[in-house]
Amino acid sequence: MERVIVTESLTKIYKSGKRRTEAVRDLSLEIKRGEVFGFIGPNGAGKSTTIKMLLSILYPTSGKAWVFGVDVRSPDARKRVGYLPENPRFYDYLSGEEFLRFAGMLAGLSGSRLEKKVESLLKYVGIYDARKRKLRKYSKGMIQRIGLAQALMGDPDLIILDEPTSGLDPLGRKLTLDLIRSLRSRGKTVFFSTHILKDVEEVADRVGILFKGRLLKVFSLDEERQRENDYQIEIENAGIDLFIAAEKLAELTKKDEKRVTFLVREDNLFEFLEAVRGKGGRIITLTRKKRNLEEIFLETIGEG
Amino acid sequence: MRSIIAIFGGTLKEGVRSKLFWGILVFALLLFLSTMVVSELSFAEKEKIIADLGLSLISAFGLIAAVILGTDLIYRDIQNGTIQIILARPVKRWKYVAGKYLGLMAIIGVNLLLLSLMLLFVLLIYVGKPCIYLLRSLYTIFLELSLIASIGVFFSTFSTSQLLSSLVTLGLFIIGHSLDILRMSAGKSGKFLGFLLKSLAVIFPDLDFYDIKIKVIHGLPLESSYYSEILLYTLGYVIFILFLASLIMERREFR
Repeated sequence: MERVIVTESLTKIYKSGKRRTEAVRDLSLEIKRGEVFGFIGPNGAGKSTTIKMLLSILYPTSGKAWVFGVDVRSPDARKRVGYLPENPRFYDYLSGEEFLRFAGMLAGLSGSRLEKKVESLLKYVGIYDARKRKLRKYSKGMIQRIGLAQALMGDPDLIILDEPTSGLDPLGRKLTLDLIRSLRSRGKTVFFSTHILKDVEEVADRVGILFKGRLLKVFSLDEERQRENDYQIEIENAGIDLFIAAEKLAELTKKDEKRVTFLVREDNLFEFLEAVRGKGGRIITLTRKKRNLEEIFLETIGEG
Repeated sequence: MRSIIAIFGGTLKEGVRSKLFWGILVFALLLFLSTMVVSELSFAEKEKIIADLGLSLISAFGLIAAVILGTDLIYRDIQNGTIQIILARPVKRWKYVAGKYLGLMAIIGVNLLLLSLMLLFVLLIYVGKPCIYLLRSLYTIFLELSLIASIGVFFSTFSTSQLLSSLVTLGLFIIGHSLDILRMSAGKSGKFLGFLLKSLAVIFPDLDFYDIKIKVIHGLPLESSYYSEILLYTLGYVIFILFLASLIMERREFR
């Protein structure tokens, strides 16, 4: 499958006098065509910096990145890309319609194709009735909608959205998430950053966790969901024999002086319980493990 | 080319709808009306008084527009982050600079056109004839403002303070009109300072070159090649300054 985004050891260090801030470190990533990739991390993790390096708004200190196989330093890399920045601000004195026309021309559209696209996008994001109003009179939600519309100008194959749902009302949030779903159904690739984990759980196929500039984990949400069939088992009197027997059946997740905790897949559950009984262990608790994204996230950055 | 046209159009629309643009026009209109009062008080020829004051006002208000808008347009795009959605498209950065500058020149052109129409209208009412000959002076005012605007755009590509950019641009305008003083001072100064002043006098555009107001008003002759020479002189400086501005933009990052 076509690789839409590829980064190799992408690093960004901000220098201000003698101060050096490592915003992104050794980030290597691949996003395939048709994927919805959620890029999560706390504020200041380096999400926006990474996105801006992909768009050549910022230049990497070291490392390389390609979009659709083209080095991001070339403007050609952005031919099939739409972008919505975080907290966008556009031209106050242009109307919604005029601004979209402006964005459409930048995307290479003209004539009747441009006019049709402007009209359809205004309707799609639900601000057609406000199209003649100046942008300075738009609410935050409306600005976000016009921002989404401009990102979709030119029918890009890769849509990069930086915190697209932050500060939106429930309707605006639903519109954005529905839009991402609809883009996926049309075979588009969506790369979006957020710190709202619920949004990622709802729409993303794969997730990358960025923390303090480092990409700690990349995983498929489907695979993680399958892991919901895991069991967490807390045991006392676990001797070395039990550890040896459990090695192939379970994952040790916690250990203290008296108790150990294992994570066991459903397929291995009975075999593991037999092993515990046979080796003299005593089961204290057995719970079905349902890990949500927040737990995975916290666990991951705890490791980081 | 389409991206230059888009940026040009956006800049022009945004500019002519701004409060500054209309503020300048209203204020200029009030001052134009006051020139009529001044001409009444004077014994000199009314036409010359109104034309002289009118051209000076157009020049001054044009300068304000060129300096403030020139240093503001790119600066504001950077501050608001609007530049990011432009650069996220396949737009070369020099085209962004060119589009912005051309948009700015169109705003200044519209401003100058409206102010000129006001002046010619006032003269038509007072003197009873269309003083079309003043267009020659308006042409050089426009060229001078083009040059000043390019300096403003240049500073806005890297400055973190619009006020500072405006002050420096205004300072360069004053220096550009004082090159004779620089040349004279160079002769009287020591070796190093003399060389420095002489170099500055060579590097800086000589803005007195654009001042033909008195000659035009009093009907004094100007060499026929003057108008094409000053156009080339301006184009040379503007292209060089915008080239430097584009180089800076090429290296700049936007956080």
